[in-house]
Amino acid sequence: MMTVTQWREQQLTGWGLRNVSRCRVATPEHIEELPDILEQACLAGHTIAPRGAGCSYGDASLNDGQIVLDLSHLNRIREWDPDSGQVTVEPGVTIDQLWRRTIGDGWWPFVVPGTSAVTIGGAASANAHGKNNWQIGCFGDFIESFDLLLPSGQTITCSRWDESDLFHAAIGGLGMLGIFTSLTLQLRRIYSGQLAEVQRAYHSLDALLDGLEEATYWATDIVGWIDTSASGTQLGRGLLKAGRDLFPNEDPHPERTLSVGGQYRRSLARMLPGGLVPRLAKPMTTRAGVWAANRMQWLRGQGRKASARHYQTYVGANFPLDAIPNWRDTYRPGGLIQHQSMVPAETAASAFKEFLARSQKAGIAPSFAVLKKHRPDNFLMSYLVDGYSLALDYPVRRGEEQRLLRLLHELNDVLADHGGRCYFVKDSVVTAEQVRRMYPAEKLAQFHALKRQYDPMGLLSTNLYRRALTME
Amino acid sequence: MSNDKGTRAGQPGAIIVGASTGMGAALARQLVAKGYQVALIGRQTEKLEELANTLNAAAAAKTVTPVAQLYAHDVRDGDAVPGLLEQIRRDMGRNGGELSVVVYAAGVMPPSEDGEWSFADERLMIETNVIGAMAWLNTSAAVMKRMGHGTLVGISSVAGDRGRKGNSAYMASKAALSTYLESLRYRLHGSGVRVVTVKPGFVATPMTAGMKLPKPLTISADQAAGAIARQCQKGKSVAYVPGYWRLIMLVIKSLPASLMVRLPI
Repeated sequence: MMTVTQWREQQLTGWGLRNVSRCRVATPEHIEELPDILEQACLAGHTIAPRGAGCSYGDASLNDGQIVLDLSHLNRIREWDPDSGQVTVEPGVTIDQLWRRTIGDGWWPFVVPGTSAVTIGGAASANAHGKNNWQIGCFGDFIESFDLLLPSGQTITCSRWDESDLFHAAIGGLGMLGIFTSLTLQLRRIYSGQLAEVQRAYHSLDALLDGLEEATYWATDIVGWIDTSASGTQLGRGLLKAGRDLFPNEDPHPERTLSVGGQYRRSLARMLPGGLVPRLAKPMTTRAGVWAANRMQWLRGQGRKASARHYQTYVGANFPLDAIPNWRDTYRPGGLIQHQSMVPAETAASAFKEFLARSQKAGIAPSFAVLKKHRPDNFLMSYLVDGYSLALDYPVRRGEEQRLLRLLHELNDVLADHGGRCYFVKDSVVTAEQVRRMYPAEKLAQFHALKRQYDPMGLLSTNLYRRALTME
Repeated sequence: MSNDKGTRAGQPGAIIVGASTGMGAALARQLVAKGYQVALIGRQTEKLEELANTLNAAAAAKTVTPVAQLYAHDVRDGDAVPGLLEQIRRDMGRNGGELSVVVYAAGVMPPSEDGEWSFADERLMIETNVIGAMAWLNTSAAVMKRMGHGTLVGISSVAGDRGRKGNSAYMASKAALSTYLESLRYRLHGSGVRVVTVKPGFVATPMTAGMKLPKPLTISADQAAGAIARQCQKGKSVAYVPGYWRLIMLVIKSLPASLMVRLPI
């Protein structure tokens, strides 16, 4: 039986609002509709881009003029076992949905990105990471198994033991090998809804990196914020935030914090009407505004009180991007481009200093810069290295866009020279040639061999895939 | 403890310097009972080993990782402290824990037959009771400041509150330790690091074994450890153990020098 699937013309954007694309969007309500959609797209000669919550910054979920498969309505939590902490979900279930369901039982996802809006399917396709990446690994490390709908219409169950090659390639495979229809994750036990957290100021990039290493003695979640207004000997100075789960019995009243209500504090930003804060914050994306906002943040972090340990909710600590609703609207109309580079430990400091210095020299200081520590993993298209990453948010201002794109192109060359890698789902600018300099040739070849094997017609495609991953 | 894949339970960790005997050993037992993992530090490795084995055997039913590990160290070797501290923190981290308490309980008081002490004796007291304490507390304070959290406990003594007849170097060493801890406390205020000065009165330990202590005023090491734990929990900065020593010392401190020369204390 064949139903006529509706797809509607719609303008979509990446999370950074800069990548805009007119696509034909199909929004299935049930998993069972997916094979039909694949078949019809194939007959119509269209390619399909899977899309979750649209939280990739660039064009990883965009497909110009063609079909975007919006999986966000496939959001049922199929099974939850509060004894083992294993959950089986449809791909459109968000991290937000997930933790709300499991926190009362004392479980939290092992790995969460900076916003809870992302879907599990999206996080798996991107092989997302969190602030604890350096210690426990990436999102894919806690996926037990998944069902993958192949372009042929067949569904395969993959795990570390069955279809291991496909398992390790589809995770982090950017949706280019198949569509996740069901995923089983292992969550982690928590003994309180709060984390112990500390913030400290470091007056140079080297000191910040030393501080980060020092924090690995006790903390699990570590993230550095860099003041992009500083230059010279203080280039790369910033604030280090380190935290860890509470030990059993450390929280005298875990039942209060291990609840959805216990995770939210009143915040002014939440009480104001939705669009107001981004409108008021608009001047902060101008050149002077970026400087002032960074300088202010740095000075605020100097206070002695900030450096004593305090307790923070999981939501507050893990999802800083959700603290201010619609924060990305601040960057309208141009949007923002994020550039996250993963660099091996030996060359990281010199690469990051060069990124910051070149940006300042070009007169385009990033509005926001974040440092993290990483470790490599076993996934085929792994972007993670034994080192550090620096994520830089660049506002796209009128009249500056071309200059910015040139700068970012340069930064990607510097990155490749330092043995680093770009992170596809944040990227907007990397070229296929640069990717070949960043990623091992045999891994790319293996990925394309799998692509040919499972998607010989090239049914699955995105703007990102065509831009960055096409073969010669 | 369950063996769920998702379980990564950790424990806070305590370092006890001078854990072989006396109050250090008693505090180690107290802390383990409260759910800490302890690093036992001292010279007398057989005694440390015995203590560690007892603690680990008792805890074996509940955890797979040892709750007590021993590290042989002479506190007169201050230069070794930073390296040793790093090693202990790594070891604690491997067990899912973190350093949160450092207790300096090492102390010596050489006996004297005739009320005189050699310079070698006095040097030993200063090196053990003061210099060793500085090596551990100074290094630990820097580490804890960066963590924004932690508790430093120094076992000083009521003996440091006033110079009296008797073991002058011992009293001076405890006065130095008390003052050092007091200064550290002010310096670290607001950083999340607590500094507790413990001033025990008469406690029956191997150190005081040869002395004639007044029975009614003497408590056991276990009683002292219990009192220290209680006072720390209450948030006391200066803990007299037992509490009545605060009053006794207040009286002694207020006596005029002309009286002090005549009194037998």
